[in-house]
Amino acid sequence: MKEPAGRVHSVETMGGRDGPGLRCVFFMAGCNFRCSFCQNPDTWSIRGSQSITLEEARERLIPLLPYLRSRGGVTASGGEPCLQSEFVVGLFKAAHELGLSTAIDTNGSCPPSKQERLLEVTDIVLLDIKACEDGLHRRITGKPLGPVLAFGKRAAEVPDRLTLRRVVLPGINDSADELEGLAEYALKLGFTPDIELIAYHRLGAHKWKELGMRYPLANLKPPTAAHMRKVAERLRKHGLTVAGD
Amino acid sequence: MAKQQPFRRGRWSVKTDIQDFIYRNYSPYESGPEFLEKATARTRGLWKKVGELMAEERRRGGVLDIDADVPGGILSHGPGYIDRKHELIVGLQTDEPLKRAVKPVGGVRLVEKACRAHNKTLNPGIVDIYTRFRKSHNDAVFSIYTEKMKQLRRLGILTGLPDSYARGRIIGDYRRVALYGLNYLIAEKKGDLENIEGAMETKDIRQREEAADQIHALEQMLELGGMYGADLKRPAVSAQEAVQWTYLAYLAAAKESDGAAMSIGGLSAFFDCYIERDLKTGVLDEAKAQELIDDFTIKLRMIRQLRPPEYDQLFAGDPVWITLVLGGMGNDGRTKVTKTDYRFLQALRNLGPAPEPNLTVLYSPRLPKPWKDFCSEISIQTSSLQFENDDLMRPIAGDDYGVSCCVSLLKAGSQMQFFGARCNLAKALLLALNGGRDEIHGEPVVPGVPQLKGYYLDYDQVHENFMMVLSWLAAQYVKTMNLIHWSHDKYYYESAQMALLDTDVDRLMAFGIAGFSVVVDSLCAIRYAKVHPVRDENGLTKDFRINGDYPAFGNDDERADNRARDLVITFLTEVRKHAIYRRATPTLSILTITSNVLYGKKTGATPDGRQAGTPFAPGANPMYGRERNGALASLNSIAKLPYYAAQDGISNTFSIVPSALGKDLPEQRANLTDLMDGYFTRGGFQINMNVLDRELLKDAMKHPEKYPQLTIRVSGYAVHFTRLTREHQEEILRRMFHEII
Repeated sequence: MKEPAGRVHSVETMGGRDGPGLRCVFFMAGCNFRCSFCQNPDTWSIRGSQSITLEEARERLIPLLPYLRSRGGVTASGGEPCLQSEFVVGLFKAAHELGLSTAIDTNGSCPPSKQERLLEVTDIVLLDIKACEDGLHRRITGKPLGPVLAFGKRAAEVPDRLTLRRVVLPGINDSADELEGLAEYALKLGFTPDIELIAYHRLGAHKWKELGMRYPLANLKPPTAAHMRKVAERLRKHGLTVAGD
Repeated sequence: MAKQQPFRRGRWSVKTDIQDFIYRNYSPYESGPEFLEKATARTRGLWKKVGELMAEERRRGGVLDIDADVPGGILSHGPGYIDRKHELIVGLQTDEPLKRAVKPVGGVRLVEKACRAHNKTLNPGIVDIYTRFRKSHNDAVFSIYTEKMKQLRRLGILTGLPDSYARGRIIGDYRRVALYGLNYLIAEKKGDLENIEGAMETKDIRQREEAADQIHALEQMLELGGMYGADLKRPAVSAQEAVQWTYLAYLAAAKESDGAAMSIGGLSAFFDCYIERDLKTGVLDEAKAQELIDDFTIKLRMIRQLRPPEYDQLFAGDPVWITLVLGGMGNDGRTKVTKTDYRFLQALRNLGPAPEPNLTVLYSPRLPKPWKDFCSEISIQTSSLQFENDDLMRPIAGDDYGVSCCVSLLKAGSQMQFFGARCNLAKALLLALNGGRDEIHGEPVVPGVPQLKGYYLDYDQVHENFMMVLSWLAAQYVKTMNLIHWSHDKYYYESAQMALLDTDVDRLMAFGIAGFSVVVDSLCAIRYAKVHPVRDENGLTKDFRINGDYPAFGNDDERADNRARDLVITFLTEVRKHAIYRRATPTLSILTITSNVLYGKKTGATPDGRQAGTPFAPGANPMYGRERNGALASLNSIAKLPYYAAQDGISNTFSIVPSALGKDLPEQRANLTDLMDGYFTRGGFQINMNVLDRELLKDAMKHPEKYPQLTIRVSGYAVHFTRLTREHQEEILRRMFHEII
């Protein structure tokens, strides 16, 4: 059988934020969401991406082992890595053979038929839930919320596997109702995940322009540190563990 | 009070052997920093006084005061104090804090210039003596240089040579004064002098004269101690005395010489033997032990030398490179980390960050985890540490060694080096592309280099020309170095430092290369892309047009990294072919300090796409913006450079924003330890670690008064960011910070 090849936007050998320890992050090309705040719109399309075989991916990990082995590992991000779940499964198997942990940074749109195989080899799921109300989710991402929540539920079946992420867009997805909704969802899961807040920033805005697109959030200001603390406190009131403020 | 126990005796008791003393008496420490104490009110008061003086120094343009009337020497000035009642460790270079002495033996015209730059006039009597009656090092070198050497120097091909400043780089084993006392050391040197006989040829006579000078310096050191009430005749009997004796020995050296880098070696385990003993008898408690280290650190931070303005361009920020090594592993498998290693790092917290002493952690993945994590944390908080690979150096030097300047290994007490600055390899490549002519003025430099033909550069032809240039240049470089050090030995001999080394010292000659990644990338561009040289009417290359992509150094890509390896080995091999002054062993460094800016300014456009006049990357760093696979790939490329061919050190300046390193301090600390474990396991030699926000640096450029202590690591040393020139600050900002969007 032919090995699956992946379409990769870029490989960042030193990720310090996407899972524990130092991580080699594969930014997979192609995304099914069109988030208005996206910081990497250049990863939406597979145009301009490089093709990489599993063997090549493994070759790239080996020189990094002394850095990654103690606590870190491999993260598949993107783009949306679940769209290339076969490649990611292969990558994660190779990572495990090398003694590395595996993490996926996803919007949750993994087709149900592929979920089991993917989750089997995934140590950490970083699930970014952009909104907890379907209408808002559709407005921000262009896609329905249901499958995202269903994927999270499945990921939470194994203790400590799931972390929920929320990019805080001031005045958009940080209302009292929204945060209530997120907390309620987290607490209902089989295993209560930690929540990681990420402050919206504009460092990716120039990429929209370079791609000839209008940046939809041109007037949105990044949240202040105080605002982030307030959001975190709100979630902590529910007994959740929250990082990122 | 418990009775003081004598130190365990051994080989050191019958022969000068500090390593043996430490090995028998030190207490390895494998736990964490919990025992450390904050600065006492006394320390804070003293440091505040010094802080005010330093602020005044900054206000006066970087120099507080100069004594332009008395040439500096071991006994020229003093005693001087900051606040006599409250100083635990005493001794200043002149009679007043931060006042600089003049050292005309290095070059009287340079001292005149330096005085003028700070609105002082050098005493005409001094000028008279050092022009009419006594030759200076600078005058001597220029009188014996060949025209070719002067040309290479003028065109910026051989650069930063120690012909117009003192070479430095020697590390006296200052601990010897504390352990043995000067009576013993003087008697030992006298014995050595008696034994130097031979046929009384030049080399024998020179050795006798040097030993006699060393004895004289030790006698002066004794008198310097007397000035400060320290009886250096005898060994130190307490921790306070051990620190004081060691400091006075260093002070004698810093009063006598103004070498570009005057490092101090490893002291922590040595001091710790005395401190542990005094803690046991109750003479000291932890707060007092910390006070000794804090005070010693304050004293080192006050060492000043007078430099001419040209020196600043090469070595920005007024550095002295009092490089102090910490940590490391012992040959017996025990760690060399002691509580006093922690105390030196604690001084950074107690006194705030500063460039001096240049704290250098000898790193091995086998170091105790709490120590590694503490170093990471201090590094994140202060950006004042560099880390160097103990596992690479220990097999060569044993477990008692110092680091000179930034990255140069020297065995403690038995090795010295002749500092050789560096050769601009980017210029060498341009000589190869221009038929041996200098790319800026068209001056013929290297004879017999064929003019290149063809629209695109042909890799084989370029390579052949380049090898021809390197071979010719290495010969010139060695000869130039031989002249410089012959002159320096003769006219500006460092008696005090050499007196604290074995008489039969092992000598290294440290050559260096600059423009490293520019050359590697240029060769890759010519090999893998198509490069068309744009030539002016005289046929000189003015620009390069690159068609296609090429693998650049810094991406863990073998195509580039192999060329990088070859370049280092080739140049060292060329240097080794030639006779070297005093049979010194040649070594090589890939280090630029801050001179990458100046060298870049003097270098035309290069085939890698770098524009004329723009800075090189510092040391062995990849060029800005060419690292496409993130920080670890870049570290791996540098880690591949062969240390065996560059034993004078490979410098890597690394900057990362805190948020890219991890989401909070515990995660950042753990990740930094992982990063260093990985890098040093891969064979990386050195890393200057900066964990900083770019925004902070921008703000510091706008409001320097808000950041008097902001310290950052540049190639091989630390500087106060606000004391750098605008040009250097901009270069640092431009440099690729590792951050992920």
